[in-house]
Amino acid sequence: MWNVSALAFELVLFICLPLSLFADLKPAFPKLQQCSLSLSKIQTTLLTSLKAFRFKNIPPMIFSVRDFLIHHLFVLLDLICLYLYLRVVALEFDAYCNTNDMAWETGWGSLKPITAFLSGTENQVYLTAIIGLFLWFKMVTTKLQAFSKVTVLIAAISQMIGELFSFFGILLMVFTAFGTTKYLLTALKGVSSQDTEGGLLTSVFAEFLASVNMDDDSKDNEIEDDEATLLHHFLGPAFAVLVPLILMNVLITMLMDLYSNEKEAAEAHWCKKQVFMVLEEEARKAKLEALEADRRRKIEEAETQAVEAAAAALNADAGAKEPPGGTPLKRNSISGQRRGADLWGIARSRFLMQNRVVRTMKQIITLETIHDLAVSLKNGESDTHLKEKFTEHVNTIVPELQYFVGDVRTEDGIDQGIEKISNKTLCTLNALRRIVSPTIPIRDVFLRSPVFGKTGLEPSHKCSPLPHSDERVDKLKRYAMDVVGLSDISVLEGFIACLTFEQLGKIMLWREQLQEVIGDCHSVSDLRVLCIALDAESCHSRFLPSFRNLPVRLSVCVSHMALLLFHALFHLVAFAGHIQDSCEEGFRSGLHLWTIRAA
Amino acid sequence: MKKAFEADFIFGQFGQLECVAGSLLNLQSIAMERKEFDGKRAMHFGLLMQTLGIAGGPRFGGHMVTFVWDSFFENIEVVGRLADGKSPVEVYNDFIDLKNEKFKMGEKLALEENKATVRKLYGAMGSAMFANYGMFVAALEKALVRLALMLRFSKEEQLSPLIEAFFGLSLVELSALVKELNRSGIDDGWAILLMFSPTLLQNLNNDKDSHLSCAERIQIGLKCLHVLYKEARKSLELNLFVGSTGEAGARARSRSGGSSVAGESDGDAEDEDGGGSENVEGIRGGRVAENGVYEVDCYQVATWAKNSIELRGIIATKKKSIHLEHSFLDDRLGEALFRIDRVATDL
Repeated sequence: MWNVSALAFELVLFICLPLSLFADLKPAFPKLQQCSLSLSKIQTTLLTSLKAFRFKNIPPMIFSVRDFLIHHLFVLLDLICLYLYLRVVALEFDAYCNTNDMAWETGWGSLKPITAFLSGTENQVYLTAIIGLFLWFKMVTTKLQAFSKVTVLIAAISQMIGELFSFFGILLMVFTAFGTTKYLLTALKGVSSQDTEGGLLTSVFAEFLASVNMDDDSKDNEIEDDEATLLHHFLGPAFAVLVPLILMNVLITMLMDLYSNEKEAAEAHWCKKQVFMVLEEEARKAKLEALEADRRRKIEEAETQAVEAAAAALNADAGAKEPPGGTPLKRNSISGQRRGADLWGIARSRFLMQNRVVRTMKQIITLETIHDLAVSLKNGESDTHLKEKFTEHVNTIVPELQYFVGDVRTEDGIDQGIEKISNKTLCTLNALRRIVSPTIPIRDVFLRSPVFGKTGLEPSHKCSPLPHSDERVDKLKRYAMDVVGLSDISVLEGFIACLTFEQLGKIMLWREQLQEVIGDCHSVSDLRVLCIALDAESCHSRFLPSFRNLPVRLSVCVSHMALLLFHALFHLVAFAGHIQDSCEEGFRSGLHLWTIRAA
Repeated sequence: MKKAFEADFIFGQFGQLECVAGSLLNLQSIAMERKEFDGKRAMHFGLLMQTLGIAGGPRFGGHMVTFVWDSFFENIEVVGRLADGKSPVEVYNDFIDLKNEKFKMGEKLALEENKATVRKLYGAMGSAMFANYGMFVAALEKALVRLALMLRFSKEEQLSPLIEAFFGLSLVELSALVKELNRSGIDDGWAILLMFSPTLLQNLNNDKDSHLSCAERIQIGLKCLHVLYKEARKSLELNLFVGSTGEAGARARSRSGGSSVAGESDGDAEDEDGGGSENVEGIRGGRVAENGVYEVDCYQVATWAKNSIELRGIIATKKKSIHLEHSFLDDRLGEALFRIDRVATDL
């Protein structure tokens, strides 16, 4: 019976735990969310169909049954456990009525110890397979780092596991403290060895019984009455259900907190990984190119040597002799060159990797092209010219940062990401040029008179431009140049820096490093402006579990913690009582022994 | 500018009065800065950059039509008064007055058909909250102007469905909405900034295929707002009770003077500059602030909207449903932005 109930309980745990996690983690994963939405659609369709079959008066609640269940899994879990508990109690009671002498040791005693488990050949195969699977998974994860979801999840889990160790430490202490009490007590009391054979679980359970003054010693003394037995059979399943339930709820709550804390850091970590993946790939390609060039050079040298050898042969024919050992020397020289080329290739690739990062950082510090861009804007250069300058600015200064805005796995992905942001920034720069440049033609002014077509407001480029003489144009120019201060070239540079970094400088990982070095920048006088630019990180929308569940979760945790504390208090009281009894008994035994010896 | 200046201020939010007066506090401290940098210039720098950012978007393509610019410039001029020493509440009220000049809400409320409801509402909530009838009407006007701007109404003629929808609400809903929409977060308790609320109302209002009338559509939106404010208030109370700003997605910010506060990462910086004696963080050392702005981001608003049985019940009574979908921008990078879509389908 105990095996069956324990199995059923574990089954419930293994089903409910992932479901509960799924419910709360769902918003983080778009695919899961889509699945959920699809399920919702199916549910709606089903209910619509049901309604068509004249199932009238369907309460609105049914429409949200799924969501209700998912978002109240804690309550559901408790209800399931309660049901299980009552079920087990009923069965136990029934069994007791039938046999009248069923003892709890029967169930727990059948559990095999760990050593027996490990000694079985079949189990050893299983364990080896699990280890193999783990190693395989670890190997695969290195290949999966191109995928954000997997990498972020793994990084978050690994962080969480680290945090969990502290939790397991506490758990171990609790179990050890409660579990070993019985051993200590039995040793002190000198009871028969039968009680100590039950193992740790027996000890824990016996301690639990002892805490409510239901110690199994009462059976030996044959003072067990019906009331006590009934209570005894209630408390067994209660213990089996409550303790894992408490621990599981605490564990889930902790996991949720950990996940929300770690995920953001994991995302940033993944971005960094992506950059280094790209750099490594480029270094690998560079190395291959270097090797290829080296190979060609060697072929050319070999050809030259062949020509020289042919010439030498011709000379030999003519009577001139090669000095002895000449050929081996040349061979050594070639192999040395090969080794040198390999080393050079590796050094070059390393240098390339380091240099790219360093170069990028340095160029961001100096912001060389910002000034050119600002001058272009001020001079009112054409769209094409401005685009060239801007492309040069973006592509030469911050290429690595661009990897953050697109899919690094494909060139198209990078291009799309860059294009999207570049277009927006370029349009904004164009708008700025139209305001700050005094030489803009009338057709290109910033402000336009609205033109309404059949479908509403026409696109702005189709709207008619306002003349320079319009009061609003003048007002806008005065505002931008005088109030904002764009007439000052350094402020304009700062403004462009802001626009550029608004999208590209959004990774916090880089931002902090940039902020440190940007203080040395002299090309832009207003450092405050630059700080503003670098602070302009994007709003990384963070995953968050439903806040709505928090009160429920809190109340569940608080109630469970209260139960745990209550239980611990019982233990303390019982433990104190046991110690006192044991001391008294020990003293009496010692006195008895001493009396016998003295006699 | 929200992040850049640590101003916690988005120009677009101000334009449609999504934010509250308390949201201008950080911007004010920047505008008033004279020692480290030219605060007025820095503020206008940020405002122009946000405006140009909008002009650079796909909708405008680097140009701006006059009526949009006029509106923006009007807003810039009002916000600019922060640098002249005006308080955030004054600036906020100036903006409301400016918009109310066009809407003429006072005249609308004085109409016979509305007068009875206004009196009734004053009887229900007026004596407890407002000193006199005039103050109550001003608060009502403010709430209506905010809603009108959230709906992006710009003309007086557009207001009638809003007023019809507004007065069609129950007294409980009305009083709660008026109360929430009038909070400034400065000296009058915690105000709630519900991101996405304008989008929610606009989406519902723009659903031209719906069989419902314009007033009915707006009314659904108002009821949704009421539920969301209720959820946010509960969440805020829990946050204050627990003594933490809680999960991401909702931040409690409290300030009644010169320094920025609370939130997740601002704590250290604040410990340094401290602020005046009146400045208190949302939760600091077990002390709970009395005033502040509780920002609930769009993701959280949408989550509540999705999960609220009450809200779903409201929608279901109109035989409509709201589908809130996650939309991941640059999904590959793991960044996400929540977007609300309303798909109206008859069950």
